[in-house]
Amino acid sequence: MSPTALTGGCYCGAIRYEAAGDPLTRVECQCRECQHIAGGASNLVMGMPKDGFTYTKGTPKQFARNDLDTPRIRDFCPTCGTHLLTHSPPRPHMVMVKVGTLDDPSIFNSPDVVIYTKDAHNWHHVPDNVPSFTDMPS
Amino acid sequence: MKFTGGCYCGQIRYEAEGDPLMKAQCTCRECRYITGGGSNYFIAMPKDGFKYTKGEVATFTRPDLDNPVTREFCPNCGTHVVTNPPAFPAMVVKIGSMDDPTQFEGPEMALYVSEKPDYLHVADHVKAFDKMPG
Repeated sequence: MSPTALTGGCYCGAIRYEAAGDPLTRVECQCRECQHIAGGASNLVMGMPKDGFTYTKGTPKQFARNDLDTPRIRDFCPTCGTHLLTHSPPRPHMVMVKVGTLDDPSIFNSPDVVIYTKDAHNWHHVPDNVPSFTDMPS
Repeated sequence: MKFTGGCYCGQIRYEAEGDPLMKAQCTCRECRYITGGGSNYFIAMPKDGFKYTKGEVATFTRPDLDNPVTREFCPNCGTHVVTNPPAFPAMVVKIGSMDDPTQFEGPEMALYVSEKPDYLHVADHVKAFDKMPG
């Protein structure tokens, strides 16, 4: 394992990964789609270099919508259902790793940016001093 | 109250009817695996008023616990829909799976804030408990 690699996995332990390299972005997304996957909360992700990411145990199942031209591909554990990461076609150099799957989620610290606040509910929150956008910033 | 919901891809659908037993957010470590890192927002609905109307969920139950909850999710898109606790008369429904999440109106209590990371928020009016109350 790289000395700087982050490690993590799903809730049941069937899937494990390591993610080497410096985080490229820390994002909190409040869009409706993310709320589905997150059970209602914001989606907290760390963008990690794709070339540093490897699964070290197990094989995730993937889901992609078939009604979109360039859908996100979502990796989840077929045993416990934990979503591990999202592949975003506009950002082919990174994978969006779910903070909840990190062995040490405190590494997230705070989002750099909050996006899709237009879909937020009154129980969602934007931290002080973090830039927020109603949609995806260009 | 009465509401409908389902998973992200639409393969699983449900109806829930009755008086909610609890409206909460949970910040325990286990919930944060399932949510991807955020709080677990849920509404507990009477089991006798809950039914699936489409599809068949996959289930996950930890084999190493005496009275584990069973987590029910869509085998196609992985969306967690409900948690079924064996010793509680309610299905714990994920807010994100509701067709109209505004029916939730927000949590009344926050559970397991002893495990809450600093980047998760509990609103001032929400009653916070270090673990599960009572």
